[in-house]
Amino acid sequence: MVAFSNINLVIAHKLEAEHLIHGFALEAVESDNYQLYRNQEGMQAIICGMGYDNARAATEYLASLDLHFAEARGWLNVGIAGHQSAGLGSCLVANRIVHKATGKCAYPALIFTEPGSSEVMTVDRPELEYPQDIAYEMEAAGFWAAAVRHTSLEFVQCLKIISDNKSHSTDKITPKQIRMIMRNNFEIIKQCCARLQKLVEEYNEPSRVGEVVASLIERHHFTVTQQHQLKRLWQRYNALGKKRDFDEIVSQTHSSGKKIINELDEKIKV
Amino acid sequence: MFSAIYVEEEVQAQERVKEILERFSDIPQIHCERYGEIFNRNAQNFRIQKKFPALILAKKHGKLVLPSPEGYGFEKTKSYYFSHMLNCVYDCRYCFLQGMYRSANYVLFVNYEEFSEQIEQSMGVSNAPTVYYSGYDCDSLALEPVSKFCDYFLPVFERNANAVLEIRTKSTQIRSLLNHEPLVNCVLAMSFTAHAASEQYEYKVPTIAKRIEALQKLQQAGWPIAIRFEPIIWEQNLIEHYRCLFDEIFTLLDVSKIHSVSMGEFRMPADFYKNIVKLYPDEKLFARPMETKEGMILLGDHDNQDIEQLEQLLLSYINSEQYYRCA
Repeated sequence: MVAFSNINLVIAHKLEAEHLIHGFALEAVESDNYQLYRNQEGMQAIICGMGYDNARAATEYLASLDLHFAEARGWLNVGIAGHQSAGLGSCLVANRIVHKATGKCAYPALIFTEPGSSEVMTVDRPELEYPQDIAYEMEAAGFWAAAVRHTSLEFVQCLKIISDNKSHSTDKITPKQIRMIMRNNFEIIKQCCARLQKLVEEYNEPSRVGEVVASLIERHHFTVTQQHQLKRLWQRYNALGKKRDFDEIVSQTHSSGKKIINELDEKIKV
Repeated sequence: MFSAIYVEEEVQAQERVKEILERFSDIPQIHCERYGEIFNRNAQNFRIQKKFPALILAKKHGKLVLPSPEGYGFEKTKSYYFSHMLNCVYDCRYCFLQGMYRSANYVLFVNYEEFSEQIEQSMGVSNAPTVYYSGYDCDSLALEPVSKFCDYFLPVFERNANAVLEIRTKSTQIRSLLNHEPLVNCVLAMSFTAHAASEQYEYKVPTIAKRIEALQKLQQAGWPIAIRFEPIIWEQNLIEHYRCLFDEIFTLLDVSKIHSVSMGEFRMPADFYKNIVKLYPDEKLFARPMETKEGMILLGDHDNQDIEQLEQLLLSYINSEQYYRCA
């Protein structure tokens, strides 16, 4: 079983999600609003429904559930798309997302280009003419608009799998074909999740503080500002290789949180 | 080298741009209206982006040549700086660029003709020699094979002998300089920190030995060279560390022909420092006690006598007229 603890998947349709739910061992979670899935490690998936507004709202909803996580998460929108020339079943990373209705453009950071990349245009109705040599779909711009409000843009990615093109129009798409192209691209999706997970981990790791900080905050009164000061002092002691000094100072009896901070602040200068 | 190349629509027809795109035809090339759509937007992380930087080819508008910050450089006369590029291919942990920009992508402004036009206009303002510094917001030479900065700007200063160009760098990309006849008014200024600091803080930077070798080649070819000991990062045995570095540099170079040598302490605007601490909460350098002086952050765990001692040591290698201290 593969699991990526800090990854959120946003998928328009259950058909597109089926193989991912199975492959990532995601289990349904009770939710009034959406079909929501989570695995034991913390990876999440939401079925957002079709279109810009649905993708945006579902992404916002998932982000609101994430508020209890102190750490950043990676966001991946996976789904089918049409393309003027790309082969059926090929996978592309969005390098530019254009919302056709508003003309707004977004530029995802290219952290994962192995499958190839393409401009993605989010349209309100299925594109049957494929006027440009780009991918056409209906969710990416909505997903992007919501996700970048909650994390650094390097952690927001869109992966599109080509289900239709000039020689195989949308009316020929079958559920069987969707299942097949999703299954065939599972390895690429996994690789993209792995890249995201690694980056998110590299981002989260330096900001983590030791258990001792949480324990101090529980035992003493610290204002919000003082909590930040305490965390920063822990990071500084740690960076300077003085973790033992920190532990020794805080293990002594102090009458208040403020006194702990003052002492830590004074002794780091020595 | 780059994760992608973004191209402003306004410059996509330029020959300079076409050449770069042709050279990197296997990298995703993405069009944009203005470079600000990609560079320095909100919700970007410099530290993460530094792992896969993109190149942005753009046109710089407005004032392209600006008066130098006070204390920057070697001349008391009027001086300017210009930045044909934003950000640096190296990853020096002490660098202020990490705190100045949210984005680690490289922006290359390709409208060199407008830069040179404004440079030449500013030359006319004063009769005294005017100094132009390049390499304030980037490393001037590090991307030379792509930017061809020297190929374009050396002839500008060749025809304006009353102006001086300082090219500030840590790069050993000196081929275009060696292919050109030396110019007395173009100074290649190489930056150094002591070995310990270089190993600890200067990621992706050519070794000290390679940098000295590049300076030797330039000097032998007749180019004026300068040495910048910046930033001085106080550490144990600092004087000894710099004694080794000075020995290494000044025995291999012709000291009498060195244009200038400067020294400057680690310092950084307080706002940039705050941003950098958020990016690198685990970095030893930023965990050290700091003090704030007139909006600038300085290392607070040493006293002023140290730099004077270091200056005395430096002056035992070079002539005092060659030396200046950066403000």
